[in-house]
Amino acid sequence: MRKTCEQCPKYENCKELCEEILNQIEKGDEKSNDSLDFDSPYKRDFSSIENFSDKDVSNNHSGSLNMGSWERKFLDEAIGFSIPSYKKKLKRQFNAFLKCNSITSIAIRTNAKKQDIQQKFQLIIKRVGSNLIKALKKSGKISSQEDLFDAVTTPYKFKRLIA
Amino acid sequence: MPIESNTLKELREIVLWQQLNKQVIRMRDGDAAITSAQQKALQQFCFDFNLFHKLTEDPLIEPIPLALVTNFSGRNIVTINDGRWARCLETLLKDVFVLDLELALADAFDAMTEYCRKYELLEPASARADMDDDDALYSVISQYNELMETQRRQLPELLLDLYGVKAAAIVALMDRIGANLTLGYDKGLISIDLHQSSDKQQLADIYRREFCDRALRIIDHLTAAHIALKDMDLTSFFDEVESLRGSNPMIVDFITHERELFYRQSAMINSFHKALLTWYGTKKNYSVTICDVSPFAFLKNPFPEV
Repeated sequence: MRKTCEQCPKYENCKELCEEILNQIEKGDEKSNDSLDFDSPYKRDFSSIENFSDKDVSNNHSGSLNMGSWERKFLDEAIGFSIPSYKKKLKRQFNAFLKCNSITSIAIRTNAKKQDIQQKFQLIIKRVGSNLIKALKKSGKISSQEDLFDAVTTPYKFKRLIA
Repeated sequence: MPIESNTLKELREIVLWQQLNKQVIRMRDGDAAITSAQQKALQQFCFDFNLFHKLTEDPLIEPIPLALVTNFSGRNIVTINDGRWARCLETLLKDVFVLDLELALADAFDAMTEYCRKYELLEPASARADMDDDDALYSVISQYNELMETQRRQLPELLLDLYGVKAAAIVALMDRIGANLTLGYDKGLISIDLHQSSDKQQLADIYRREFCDRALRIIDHLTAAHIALKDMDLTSFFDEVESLRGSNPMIVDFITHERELFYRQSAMINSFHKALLTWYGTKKNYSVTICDVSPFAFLKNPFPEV
C-alpha cells in the first residue's frame, strides 16, 4: 500500500485514502501494482465521512442519569477541563470511548498498550465524574445523599452512567 | 472485512503521513514556500522510518506531545511540542518548519476510527468486548494515579516545564548575544558557543541561573535523596499490590507494565540530574548545548540536553 502512495503523482494534495488503497485493503493485497491508474474515477462516496473531532459527544446518549442538554454541555466542558489542551490524542480517544469504542479497539488503532489507556481513562473519569456529580447535585438532578460516583469505579461504568 | 495486522500497520503509516501532509498543505496555501520535492521528502521520511510506529511504540514517550522540526530536505528532528521551545529551534536552525505531531496523531486516530467503522476493517465491537471492566483493577489504577499525582511524576508535565525553562534560557542568551551568536555542531549536538564572547562568564551565569538552577528545582522532588524520605514510594506500592492481588492477572499485567515504565523514567531523571550536577562541577563551561539534531534522539531520551 505504501508503494502505491510513493508512486502516486497526486501526493501533493493527498489528505485521505483513495480508491486504490481501499481496494487493496478489501483484497487484502499488500503487493504493489505497477500499472496503477491514478486517474480512474473514485467509486466510493467519501462525502459521508464525517470529521470526528468536530462531533459533539453528547448527542448519542440517553441513560441512567437522565442527562439533559445542560448536563451534556457540562459534561463536555468537564472533559475539556479534565484533559490538558496539549493532550489532543487523549481527548479524541476518550471521546471515541464515550461514543462506542472499546478500550481494546482504541489500543489497536493507536498502537498503544491497553494498560496505558486504562490508566489515562481512569484519571479522566475521576476528574470528570466528581465534577459532574457535584453539578448534578447542585442542580437537584440527583439528591445530595446519593453518591453515584462512589459506584463509578471504572471507565465502562462511567460510560453506562452517563449513557 | 477484518484486515491483517500488517495491513493495519501500513494503513496507520499512510494515514499519519496524510495528516502531516494536510498541515503542510495549509502552510503551503498560506505563505510558506514549500516545494513539491520537499513534500515528497516528508512522505519519504514518514514511510522510511515507519513514523507512526516509531512515535507510538514506547509507552513512556507516547503521552508526550511531540512536534517535528523539519526543513523538508534532510533535517528532521522529533522533539517536544512546546511553543516556546519550537520558536527557539526555528530561530536557531533557520529555514525550518514545525509540524504538530500530536495533532497529526489525533487526526490520524479520528481518520482510522472512521475508516475502521465505515469499511469494517477491524472485528466487530462485540467480538472485542473488553473483559477487563474489573473493579479491583480500576481500584488499583486509581491508587496508582493518586500516587503519581501526589508525587508530581507525570512525564509530559515535567518535560514541558523543563523545556520551558530551557527555551527561556536560550532566549535570554540570544537576546544578550544578538547577531554575534555562533552555533557549534559536534557529535550530533548543536550548541551555542560562548568562547568568543567577551562576557562569556556572564553568559554562562545566565544559563546557570535560567536553566540549570530552575531545572534542578523542577526535578528536585524526584531525585533519589527526596524519594528515599517518602512514606510510600511507587516501588513499595507495586510490591504491596503484587503481594495482595497477585492472583488477579489483569492487575499483575498492569503493575508489571507500570513498574517497567517507572524504572525507566527514574533512570532518565537520575541521568538528567547527574548531567546537571556535572555541569555545575565543570569549570569554564562556555558551551551551551541546545539539542541532539538526530531525528529520533528525543524518543530515546526526552530530557533536555544540559
